[in-house]
Amino acid sequence: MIKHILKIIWNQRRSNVWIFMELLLVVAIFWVMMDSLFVDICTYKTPLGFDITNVYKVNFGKISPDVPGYVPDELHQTSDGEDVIRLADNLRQNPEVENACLAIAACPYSWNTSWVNLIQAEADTTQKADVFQRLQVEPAYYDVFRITDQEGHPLRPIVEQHTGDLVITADLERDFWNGQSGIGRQVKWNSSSTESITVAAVSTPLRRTEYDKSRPCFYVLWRSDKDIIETVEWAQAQNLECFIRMKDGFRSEDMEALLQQMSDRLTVNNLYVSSITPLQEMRTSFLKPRTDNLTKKSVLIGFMLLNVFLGIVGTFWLRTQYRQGEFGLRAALGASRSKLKQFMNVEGLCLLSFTVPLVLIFIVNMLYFDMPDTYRQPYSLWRFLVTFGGTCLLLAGMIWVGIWFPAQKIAKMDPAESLHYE
Amino acid sequence: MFKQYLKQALQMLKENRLTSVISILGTALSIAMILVVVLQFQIRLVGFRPESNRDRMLYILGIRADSQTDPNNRNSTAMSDGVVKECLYPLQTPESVTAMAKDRSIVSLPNRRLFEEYVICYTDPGFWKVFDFHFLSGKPFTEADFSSGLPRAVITNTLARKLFGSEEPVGKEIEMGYVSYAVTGVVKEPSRAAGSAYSDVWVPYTSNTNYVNNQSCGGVCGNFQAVILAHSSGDFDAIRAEIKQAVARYNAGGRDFVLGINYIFSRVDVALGSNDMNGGIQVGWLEYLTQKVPLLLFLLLVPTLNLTGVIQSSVQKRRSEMGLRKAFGATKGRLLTQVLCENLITTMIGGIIGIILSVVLLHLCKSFLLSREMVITFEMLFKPALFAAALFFTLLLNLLSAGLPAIRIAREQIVDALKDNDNS
Repeated sequence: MIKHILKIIWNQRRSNVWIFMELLLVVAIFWVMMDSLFVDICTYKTPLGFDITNVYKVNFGKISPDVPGYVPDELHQTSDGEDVIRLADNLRQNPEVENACLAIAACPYSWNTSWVNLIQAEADTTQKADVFQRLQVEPAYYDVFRITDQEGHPLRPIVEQHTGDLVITADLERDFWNGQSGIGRQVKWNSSSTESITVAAVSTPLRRTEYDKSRPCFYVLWRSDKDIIETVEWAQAQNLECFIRMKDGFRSEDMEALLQQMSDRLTVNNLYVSSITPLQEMRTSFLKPRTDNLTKKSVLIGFMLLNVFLGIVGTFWLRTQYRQGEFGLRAALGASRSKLKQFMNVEGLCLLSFTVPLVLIFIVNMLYFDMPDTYRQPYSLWRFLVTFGGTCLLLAGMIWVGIWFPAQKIAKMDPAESLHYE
Repeated sequence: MFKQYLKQALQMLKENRLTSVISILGTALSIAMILVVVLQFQIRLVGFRPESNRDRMLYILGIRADSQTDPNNRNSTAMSDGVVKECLYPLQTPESVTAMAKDRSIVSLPNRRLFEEYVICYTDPGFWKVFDFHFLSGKPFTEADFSSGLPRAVITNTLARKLFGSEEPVGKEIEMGYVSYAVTGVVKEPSRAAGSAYSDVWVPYTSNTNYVNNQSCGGVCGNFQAVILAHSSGDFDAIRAEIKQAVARYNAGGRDFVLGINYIFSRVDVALGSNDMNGGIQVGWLEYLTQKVPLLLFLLLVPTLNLTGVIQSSVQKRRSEMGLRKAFGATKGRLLTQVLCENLITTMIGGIIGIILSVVLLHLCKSFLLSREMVITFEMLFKPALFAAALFFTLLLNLLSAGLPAIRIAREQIVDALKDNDNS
């Protein structure tokens, strides 16, 4: 039967060539889209390394000296560092708040990051110094963001059991010690520095956003209030990040009321809580360009599917009209209706399958020039099967639906009537 | 003759309902998708209130400040108030000039502390001349308010409703960073599409000490961007030249840092994606088109192939008719025109539906094409450019899809056509 159909397709080449070219173009672009969607979705699904549900970012403000209400230096005994710690304590003491923490450059979904050199202390001096992302945090940060070690145990108790001022992520551990445990090992800021720092714990890999691959990074721990006060001396207090985790069941609509209620506790000398943003909201706006891109790709896929549908319906509908005689003859010679339908379906699918070799050449070329995203997701047979198979299946489905309409018409045809045309 | 084609085309549309619907739908869909791309650009380009005079505006989005002594100390940032005062305010050629810096801040009431952040625009009285805001009540802060740095604010009607309910806000006070500002006027909230004018609150920048006498990099760097309104777009070159002179004069003052205003963009530059932050880049039509044309081509090509297939099939059916007409003396050109004209009817209907569909699509897809909060008005969409683009792409689509089948049928031998012989 296939040979027969091939002959028919060849004879219809004039009208087939257009639908074939459309399919060719669509299959190629479809595959590109599917591949990039596949990488996006796979990356999206892997664990982030932290949990932001019910976490809010607290922004601080500082009253400027020319404003009434400013507490002049001679009137207050505490430093800005102590004030900011007290503000965080005030927040933590609220019964609705599960925990609060202070940090610098540690806010997820923000552009505010800090990068510094870090090397292993025991390595020889020739080791190339790499730059890694540095997050400065209080141990409570691990409770607020529910960060765990690689076995899934909460990280904070582990940090507190061990000495050392640094927590590294599993990626950094692998980079430095290649599979060996990093706990208790020494690192330095650079090869010329004499001071070395102990690694207290290793956390799960950390990803900046759902769309990024995890990268090696590390946390500098503020073990005591003294560390925070020292930091505030060079970084302004209002630039410190503060995060609070609310108890389960707390609704973000109630935040305003909660703040109103503890209004007087939200100012300590010249520092005050200026606003509170749910991290969920920051996430949405931070990811918007990436999410929008994903949606646009899906819309284009929809556009292509719809076009293939229209193209197939159009071409095959007209074809059935002037091939009525042929189908009538087939019916008269004993072809059942389902057989006729099947006949058309195979014809459509044959057209699709002809594109496969050409598209495979295209894919090989794309891979040769490393056009698909192989950084976030290595290219594998599995990835090829899912994306290319998905492409073919979806298009085949669309062709099948497109042929259904004209086929319906054929099936209703009376053989005698169609033969009449001959 | 064309009337005859029209009749024939309409007759064919009726006769072959399904294929007509498919052709029209395919065209409409393709035109709509293309127009959505065009509309996105149009919203960035054309004027609408309060940025009605975009065609007369020039933009200084950033500056360079390079140290005289340290070659590594080079900055690409925004202007200080000093630069604005010395280089921009004295300009003679423009109609008006404004400098603005935006920040986010909490807006509270004197008796009640609130915790929601709003966009605050620190600007000058020139702002109200460059942009034509619709004042619902009150008036802008004045030149006198500005020069004495009085805390005065203009707010949007949305914010006014949130803070004061139905009460009249003019004369009342709002608090920002522990400073009380008297509300002088309420404006209709501008659409977020008006990127320069958009804000929730506008105050004289002199009222906030952070924005006056900026000393970073020798008093050159600051937070301000500027918009200049020319009398006509013909003055652009004169204004650019005048700014160049002003910058030269400013630099003659012998500061530690050299000021450089490298780019003064027109609205077209801005719409194409030019920017002057972190180095600055001027995007021309060529760069913009190389980026967009593949998408447009794709949106055009897929339906074209579709339509060609359908048209090819339907023309095939009419071969004997064409052969007959040729036998009676119809020229190639005439048959070609006929096929093209007939199809133009289909594509035109598709094009018109496409225009409507594009507006619907833009509204439906607003959240990921633009932003959910952006208000799209009639004024932004229905500009001549939209219809010109629709006509252009419709004609192009028609020519591409019907061209080949038409040429083919017109060139066919009479005998073959009449015999319905498929061997040519």
